[in-house]
Amino acid sequence: MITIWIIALNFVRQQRIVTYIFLAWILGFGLLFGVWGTADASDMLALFHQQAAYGVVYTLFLAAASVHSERQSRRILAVLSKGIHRYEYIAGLMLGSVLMTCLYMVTLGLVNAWFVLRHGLPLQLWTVLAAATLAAILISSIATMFSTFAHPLVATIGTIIIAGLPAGLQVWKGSTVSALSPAAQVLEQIFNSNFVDGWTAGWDFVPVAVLQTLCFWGLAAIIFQRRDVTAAIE
Amino acid sequence: MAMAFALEFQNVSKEYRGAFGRTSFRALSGFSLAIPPGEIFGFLGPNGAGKTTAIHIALGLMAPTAGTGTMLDRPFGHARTRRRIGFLAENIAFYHRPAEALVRLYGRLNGLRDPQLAQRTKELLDTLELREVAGKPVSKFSRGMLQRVGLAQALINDPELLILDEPTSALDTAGRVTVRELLLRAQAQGKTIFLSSHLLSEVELVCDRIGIIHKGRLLRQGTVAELLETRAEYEIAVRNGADTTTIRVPANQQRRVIEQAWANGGEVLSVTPARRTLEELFLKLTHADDAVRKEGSA
Repeated sequence: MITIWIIALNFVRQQRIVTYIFLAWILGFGLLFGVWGTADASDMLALFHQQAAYGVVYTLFLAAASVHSERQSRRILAVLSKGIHRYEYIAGLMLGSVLMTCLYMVTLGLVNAWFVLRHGLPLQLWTVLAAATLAAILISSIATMFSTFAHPLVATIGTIIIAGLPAGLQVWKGSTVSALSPAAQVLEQIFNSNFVDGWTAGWDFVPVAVLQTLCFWGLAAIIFQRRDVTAAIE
Repeated sequence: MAMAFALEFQNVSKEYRGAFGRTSFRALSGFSLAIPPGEIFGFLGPNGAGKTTAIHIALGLMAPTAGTGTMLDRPFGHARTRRRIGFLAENIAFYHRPAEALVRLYGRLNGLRDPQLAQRTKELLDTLELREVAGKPVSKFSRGMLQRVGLAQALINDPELLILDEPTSALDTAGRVTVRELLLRAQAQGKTIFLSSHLLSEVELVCDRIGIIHKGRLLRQGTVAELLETRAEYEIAVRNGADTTTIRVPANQQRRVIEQAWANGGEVLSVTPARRTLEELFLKLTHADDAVRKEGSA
C-alpha cells in the first residue's frame, strides 16, 4: 500500500501546474462572485453546475493521459525497473487522479460554501459534490484502463462511450439500463439539481460505481501486465 | 545453495510487430547467455543489435516472443526480485524534481526507508559528486549530470546485480574514471555487473568477459584475453644493436622471420601471440556476420 501512495503522491506532484490552474480558476470565480457578485441564485446555480462538471472532465483528461505520457517520456523505465508490481503502479496512478479530484472538489466546496454563506443562499453543496466525486473516480478508472494501451484522445473518446453508452441507449431506445451508467446518471442529476435540496437522486448508484471502479482497475492491471512498456507508442 | 548464474537468457527471441501486425522486426533471435555471480560482463553491439531489448526483457519491461530466463534465480519480470537489482536505462528520463528527492523516491519504491535511505542517499550523492547540486531540479542538469543521478538511483538499494545501459556515454573523463572505480569496487563486494556500452575502451578496461551481439544473435563471448588474442599473427621483438623493433607477422611466417633476424645478427627478445584491439574484433565479427547474411539472402 505504501508503494501505491508513493506513486500516487508523485503523480499529484507531476500534475501540479494543471492543479494550480484549476484551483486558481475556482478561487478566482469564488472571489469574483463572493466579493463583487450579486446574490442572484440562478447565476450561482449555473456556476455550480459548470464547476462540478468540470471536476469530472478534469479527472477524465488527467487519467486518459496518465500511462501514455509516462511511457512516452520514458520516465516509466526507472519506476517499473524497481521492485514494484504493475498493478501497484496502475493503482498509484488511479489513486493520484482520485486525490486530485478530491482536492478540486473540496476546494470547490469550500469556496462555494463561503459565498453561499456570504449571500445567505439556501443551497446544499456537499452532497452534490460527493456524488460528483464518486462519478469522477469511476471515470478515472475507465480512462486509466484505456490509457494502458491507447492514445489519450482515443482513451478519452473510449471513456465517454463506455460511461455514457447505457444512458445514451436509454435516451435513444427507452432502454432501462441507465443504472449501469452511474457516471452519466450523476452528471445528469448535477445539471438537473437546484442545489437547494441537496442530492435528491438517492445513493443507489454507489455500489454499482464502486464495483465498476474495481472492475476497471482490475482490467487496467491485467491489460497493463501484458503490455511491453518500452515498445513504440501507438 | 549458491546460484549458478546471476543472469541467464535461454533461447530468447523477440519480435516487434507494427500496427495490425503488418510489419515485424526481429530484435532478438534465439539469444542465450549466462552471467555467473561476481562478474563484470561487457555487452557489446552496434545500434539496433538487440542489447536494450535483451535488458528490458530481463527486467520484465517487455515479454519475450519465445524463450525464457532467470535473474537472481527468479524468472524474468519477478517484481520483488527487482528490489535486488539496479538499472540505469540509456537516455534516462526523470521526474522534474531535485536530485536528492528523486534518488530518495526511487529508493522508497525499492522498499528502502529512513534512516537507511537517508544514509545511502548521502553516500551516493557524495561518491557521484552530486552533493552541491542535490537541491537543484534535474530538469536543469546536463546529460552528464543526469547520468550521475541515474547511477545514484540504480545504486540506491545496494543491488546484487547492476544492469547498466550505456552508463558513461555522456560523462567526461573524470566521470568515467569515477564510474570505473565504482564498478570495480562493487565487483570487489561480490556484485555482478552487466554493462552494455558502445565505449569499447571502457569495456576492455573493466570487464572480465565480453559478449558481442549483432542483429539479435550473440556472435561471440569470452574473456577479454581470449577474444583479443589471436594465434593467426605473432609479434616478434628483435634487438639489433641499439635498435629494438617489433614486427607483426602471420603465424606461418614466424619461423622464417626469426631465422632472418638471427642471420642478420639480431637478438629475438620475445615472440607473443598478437593482440587485436576490441574495435578490430568488433568490426571483424559484425562485418563477417553481415556478409554471411547477405550471402544467405542472395
